Amino acid sequence: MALASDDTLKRTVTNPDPAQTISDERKSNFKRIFAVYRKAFPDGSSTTITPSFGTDHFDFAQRFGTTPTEQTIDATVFGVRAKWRGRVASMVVLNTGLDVEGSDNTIRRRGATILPPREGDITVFGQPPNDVVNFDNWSVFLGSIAPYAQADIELFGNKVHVVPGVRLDSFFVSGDKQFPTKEGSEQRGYLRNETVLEPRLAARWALSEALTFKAAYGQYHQAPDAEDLSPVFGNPTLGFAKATHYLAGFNYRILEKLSAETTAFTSLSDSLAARSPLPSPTTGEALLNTREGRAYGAQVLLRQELARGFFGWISYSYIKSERKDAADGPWRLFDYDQTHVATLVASYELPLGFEIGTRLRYATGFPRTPVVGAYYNARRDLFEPAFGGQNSIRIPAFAQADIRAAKRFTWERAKLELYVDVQNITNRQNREDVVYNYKYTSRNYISGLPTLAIAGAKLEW
Amino acid sequence: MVNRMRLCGVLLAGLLPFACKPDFTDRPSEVQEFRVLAVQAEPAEWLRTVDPDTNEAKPAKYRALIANRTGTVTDANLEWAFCTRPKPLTELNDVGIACFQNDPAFIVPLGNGPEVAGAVPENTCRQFGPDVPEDQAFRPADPDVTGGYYQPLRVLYRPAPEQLVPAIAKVRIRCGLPGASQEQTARFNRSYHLNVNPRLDAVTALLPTGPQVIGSSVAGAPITPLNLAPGQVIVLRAAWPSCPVTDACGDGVCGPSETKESGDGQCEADCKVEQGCAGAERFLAFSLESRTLDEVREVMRVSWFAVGGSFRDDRTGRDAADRVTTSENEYTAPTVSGSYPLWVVLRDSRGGVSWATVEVRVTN
Repeated sequence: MALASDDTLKRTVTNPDPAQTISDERKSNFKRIFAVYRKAFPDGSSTTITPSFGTDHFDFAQRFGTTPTEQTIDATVFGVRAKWRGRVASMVVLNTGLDVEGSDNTIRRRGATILPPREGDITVFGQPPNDVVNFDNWSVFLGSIAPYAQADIELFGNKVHVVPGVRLDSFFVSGDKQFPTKEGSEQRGYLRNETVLEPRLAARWALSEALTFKAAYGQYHQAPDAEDLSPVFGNPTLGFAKATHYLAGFNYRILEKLSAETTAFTSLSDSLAARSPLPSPTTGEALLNTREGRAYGAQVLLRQELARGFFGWISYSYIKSERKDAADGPWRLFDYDQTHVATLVASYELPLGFEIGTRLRYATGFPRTPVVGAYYNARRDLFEPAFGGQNSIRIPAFAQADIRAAKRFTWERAKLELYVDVQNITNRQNREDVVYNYKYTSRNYISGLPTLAIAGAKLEW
Repeated sequence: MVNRMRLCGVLLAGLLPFACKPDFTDRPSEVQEFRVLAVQAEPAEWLRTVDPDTNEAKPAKYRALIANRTGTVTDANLEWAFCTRPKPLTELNDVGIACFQNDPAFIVPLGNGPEVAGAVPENTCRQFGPDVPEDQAFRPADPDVTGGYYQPLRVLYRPAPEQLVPAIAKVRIRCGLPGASQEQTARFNRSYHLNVNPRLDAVTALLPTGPQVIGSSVAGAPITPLNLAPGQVIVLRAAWPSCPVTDACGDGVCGPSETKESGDGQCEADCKVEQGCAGAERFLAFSLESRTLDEVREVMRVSWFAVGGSFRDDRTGRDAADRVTTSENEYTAPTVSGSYPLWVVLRDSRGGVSWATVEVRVTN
């Protein structure tokens, strides 16, 4: 099978002031070719092999006046996933396999070290970027070889499933630059390898015909992003981010097609990449593996499968996500923390091929850092904000109601659906982000779209 | 002032491709309270030179344009101080917020008054430039798009005991080149000429009766009041000198291919005492991408300020490829009779600045 995509976006906002003319151009394309080989054996076991190969291209060029922010990434990616599944004992089903992945990246970047903003950066929407620039082009190969095995052990008459597993992940990082380019100095490449053992354990226990208990634990590692391994903008020696996940919960089948599910979970992560807090960072160490993260919460889900023309679900999750930028620093909210998220989806099939549905959504607004003052930057002729506590305020909560009506026509060789989606039927002004006036003395919000109706048709044959 | 409607459409941030952005009614060109409008260093670019008589670095002079609703504040008791603490990468502003703390570890007072003189701290190119000692592994500071480095200069103005108007100026400092070859550094040292402040030759009102010069940044130039009817709309034009587009020895400007030193490009007439141009100058900048010394040209920006009435644009200007030496803006006079100050500030992209004050008289 082959897939290909190509997208280009270009926007320019001109201004009589050359320092305020803004342009934004993004190009992205990818090509993938992959194959799947499956074979089932007489003993019930099976094997699947999925090789893949492709290329990625991403080009981002933003200009604020004469200040550029540009990044181009060209990558050749490949991978092979091979797995075997079979019963190795009367009570044990084994899943085992090998994941091999690689990406060869060539990256060019020009602009400020601090752009584009990263998670944890304190800024406000629309703030003109810093006008310092640097440049680097570098190549990085990221690869991993990971054999794994997972045994599904059935106990107590299939009432209990214990699934221990282990994954041996061997990461390779190879780059062409350890230091920023300097005339007369010879550049040295590097090759690093880190092999980690990732134990995992999951269990399911059918306490009754209707009630099931579940729990899981796992350790995970992630290689640094290739774009973070620049000796100018990042750090070629960045290590691997680590995370440990725990979850536990119950599934309860209330009726044949009505079920409830609760899950509590926590995730602890460390060695996340963060900007160096030093006024004078060491060469090649603009980023450091100093950030820690923690997230915990619970989710409740009530789901009605299709019965008598009706299906739907209602869910609520409470998740608190926090970050700590240095070992001795305080915990703060994660930039994308949404503590409360609730969703209701319902759909009902009417006679004569008509269908109506609704979706209600509610989510806590994202955290933001308040501006508590400002000073005038006389060189750039603009005000710059002074910030209060990091992520100590929030955008107001998001809530939206949408409805959908459809009419289906079915013929022998084709199906046609005519539909109308009406989004934000209450015309609520949902706040998307915080904006300030030019001197940061007044605060307001960017609001989302008003009521929006979309009519469409879908034809299948 | 223009009260713009809410704009629904495409925002450039990318995160919010379709959203509605509120417009605030206050505009940068309105002067409603005490404000710092500009800070000028003379010379515009700092190069440490030692006075042989005193064996001390020759000082530079600093002055600020302070305005409020009644006009220019000429006797402001400003508190001047250099900040020697570099900005950490975790802060996205131009300077670290710590520069507004009075910590003697990194705040170097320059004095108080409407103008001060003083030498830039000796280690400025190490703190804010690329001059990292060979035995140390600190990351050199990044230059701006013109290849320049800047020393933060804090300016605090207290018009009343409990009122503070904070500002940061940045003094362009002449430092080395990051990672350049010896040949490139030698050429840069020969042919890079320090920036000079631009000159606002004339602010001209284009009246139905003909153009009228109403202001200039030239010291001692007369200020001619501009008489307008209530609500009258006129065009104001700011003009600065034209700079040569190629170098010719004897043209009065020491260009980027000319030098006072012997050898190629020697031009004693223009460079023995470096003659700068007070318009959009050409200068040498080191490209970190091509790792070459390129000749580039300054961008010129004009900031317009008014107590009464309104400008069509808060700022205008000419980019580096545009050789026109004027920039125009539309001004709508107040509807109430009276005398109103206007300020026009001209900046070049290397941190040079000058300004002119204009008086508008509105009469029925």
